[in-house]
Amino acid sequence: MKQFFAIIITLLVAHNASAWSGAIHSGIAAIADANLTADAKSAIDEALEGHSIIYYAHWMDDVADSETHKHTKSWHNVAITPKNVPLSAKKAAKSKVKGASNALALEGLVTAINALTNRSALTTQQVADNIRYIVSIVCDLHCPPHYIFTDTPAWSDVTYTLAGNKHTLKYSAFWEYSAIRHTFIWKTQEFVHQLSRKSPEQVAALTAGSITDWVSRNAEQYRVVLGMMESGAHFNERTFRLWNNKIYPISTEIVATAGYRLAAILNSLFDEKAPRVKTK
Amino acid sequence: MKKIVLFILGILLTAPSHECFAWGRNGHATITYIAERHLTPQAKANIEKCLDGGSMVYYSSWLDYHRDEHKVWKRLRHTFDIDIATGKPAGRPIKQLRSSLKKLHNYQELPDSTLKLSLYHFLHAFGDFHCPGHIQHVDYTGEKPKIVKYTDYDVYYAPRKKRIQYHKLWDTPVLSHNHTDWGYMDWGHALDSGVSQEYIDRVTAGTLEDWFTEAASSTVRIYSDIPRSPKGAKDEELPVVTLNLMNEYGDLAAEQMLKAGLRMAKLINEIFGE
Amino acid sequence: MKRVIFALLFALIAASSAVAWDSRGHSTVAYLAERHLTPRAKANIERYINGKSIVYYASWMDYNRTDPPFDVTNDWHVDYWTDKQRTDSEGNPQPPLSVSQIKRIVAEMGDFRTMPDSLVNINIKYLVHLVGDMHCPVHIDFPRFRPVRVTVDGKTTKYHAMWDGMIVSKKHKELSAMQFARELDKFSTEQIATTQQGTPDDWYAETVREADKAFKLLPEDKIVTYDNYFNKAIEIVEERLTVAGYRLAVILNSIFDK
Repeated sequence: MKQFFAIIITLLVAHNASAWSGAIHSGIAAIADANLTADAKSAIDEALEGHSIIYYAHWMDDVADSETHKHTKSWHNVAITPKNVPLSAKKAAKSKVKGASNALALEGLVTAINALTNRSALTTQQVADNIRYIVSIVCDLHCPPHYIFTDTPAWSDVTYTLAGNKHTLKYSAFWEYSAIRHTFIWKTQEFVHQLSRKSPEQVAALTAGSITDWVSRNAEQYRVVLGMMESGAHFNERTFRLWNNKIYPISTEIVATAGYRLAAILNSLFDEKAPRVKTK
Repeated sequence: MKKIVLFILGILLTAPSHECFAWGRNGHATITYIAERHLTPQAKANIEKCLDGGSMVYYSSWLDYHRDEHKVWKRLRHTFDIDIATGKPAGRPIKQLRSSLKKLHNYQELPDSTLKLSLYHFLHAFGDFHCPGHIQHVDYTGEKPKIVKYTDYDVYYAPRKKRIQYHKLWDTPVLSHNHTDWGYMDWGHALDSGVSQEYIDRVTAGTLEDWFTEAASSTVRIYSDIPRSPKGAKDEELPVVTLNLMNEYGDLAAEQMLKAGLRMAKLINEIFGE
Repeated sequence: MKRVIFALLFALIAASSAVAWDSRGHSTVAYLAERHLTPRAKANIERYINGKSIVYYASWMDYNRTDPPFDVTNDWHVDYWTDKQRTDSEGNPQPPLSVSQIKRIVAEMGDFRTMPDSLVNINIKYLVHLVGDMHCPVHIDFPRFRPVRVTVDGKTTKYHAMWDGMIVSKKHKELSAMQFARELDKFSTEQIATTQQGTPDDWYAETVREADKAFKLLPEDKIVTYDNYFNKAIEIVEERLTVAGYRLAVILNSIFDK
């Protein structure tokens, strides 16, 4: 009997998990795509054989199990010090905090950017792969549960009761549940329609500083966001909605920011006239 | 053992349907998106300025999600009344909508909070009154108004083999039944692709009252098709919404969303177009 | 009791993936075709479907196939590869119903303006759907595919079921049909012209070859992974959706661009 439950739960979880994270990734990529310069867009679309970056928004998750891309498995999370500074690979390796040694998203991003900066040495396949890495990693670096704060204990499960049914979810899954199910019911281009509305001054402010600065600024903000819910919280329909109403404007802003920053990185790499984005 | 099976079924059936607001978020988003497609550039710029640069779509379900947070917001009605003697709108909900519209006509002089609430209310409630499940028939001849017809009873949703409150059927399932994966841009595109000027002129002619009367009369059939079921009726005693009926209701809902969007655009162009 | 649960589970899985090209697949084909309609054809078509887009009706046949008066169309979607349906009473080989219906409609619609509006309306709904169906590799129900089981992520499932739910959902499930069509619409003008040549019979023969190709891609042990199968199968899926879109466009243009 237990097996049956296991099957059913796996079915439910598997069914949901992929769709949720994918939708936000493709939304972020769509915002970025809409903000590429003409030169960058044509260069990138050519490198991706006619597809846009939207098509590859969560490609790194798809290929995680393949031999060629196994090394990207540690490129999803980032470990953060009490002063909101991302932990270097060396320090992360030594850290005793759970998951920190595998939280090398920023390292992965820098590796991919450096590879593309000297792309004359790369094969066409490698150019395409590195673009696709960047798209996936920038999305992950703009998702609060992907941040591991070395001074904060891991979050415990969250329970919630909706439509009379009690559910328990891991904190990160809950955040995605909330974000996707109640905030982002939108599809691909709808993210662009709603969130790609910033003035050049606002974009300049979002993309100011280096990528490491961005991660620090994110960390500072995400600490506050994550603190808006108690570890192990219990929600009912009403309290969930009230909580989500507070999160809604913040998470839309996070997604928009991710889109503009992804565009800034790709423009910097593929359009000589665009502003440079530094990694450090 | 049977219990376990029922339990599993229960989880699976209820999980996706807990959103029980009128039209669901997708329906309201579709209506405001269609409206946006028909705005003059000036009207669009002005209304978005009032929304701090955001889109109308983003705020189209604000009232559903925030209504618990303030007693004034909670008092704004989402269900509309018609007087069965005249077939015309009556009671508080239409007064509230008129009042918000009246305020918006002076939008440049309103304090920001009043402007925003009036807008959120209009963007949402105007969609609601085009939703067939949101019109209740009221008898005003007695001492107290008496609700004669409303969708607060259970029906049997045959294509999905489950019972559901008729009201809820008209919220999300009526749209998602045949188009499970559509977003509001898909809906807007599908409904509003080649609408003729003649159609637009026809459905946007008249006043708010005319539109309401028309919306109410075109949805009267939902009560004659599916009469009220007694409280506590067993599944097999419930009136049945068949597959064919569901398909027809899907088309009816789609038509109502299109009309709502086109009419909303007309009002916004009038108010914000200068 | 175990049987009940199995039946239940099976029903759940089947219900979520009863049609090979799901609603999103059909919407994608319609979006893609719409991008290649001439302005005149598009305007003419939309006049007969109340100003709506053909995308609105992409799956109409699927949700109107079980109840009268349209239950007669229930067999048009899938080509059941049996002796009975593949030959007429004199033993002559016959095309599948999706193809013969498309040919019938195209022939009848030669002068659509003389036809009753309702007939033009329903024929548009049929074409928009059937051109998609006839390009779907698992809309051909070969007896030799039927008993085949494959293993995905440690679970065993039917070959057909894997195609239904898993291949498209493994990749790009979150892309809207609108965006998916944009991604697929990348053939050059010459490639599009080549794709649009030939007859529905030729196109169907091509689908049969593709179905065979997809089947042969299966690893010998039938343990399917991203690298050894999905990655290649998705290319077939996308190619089928794309050519179906271009061909739907050419059929509709040939009828309505006048």
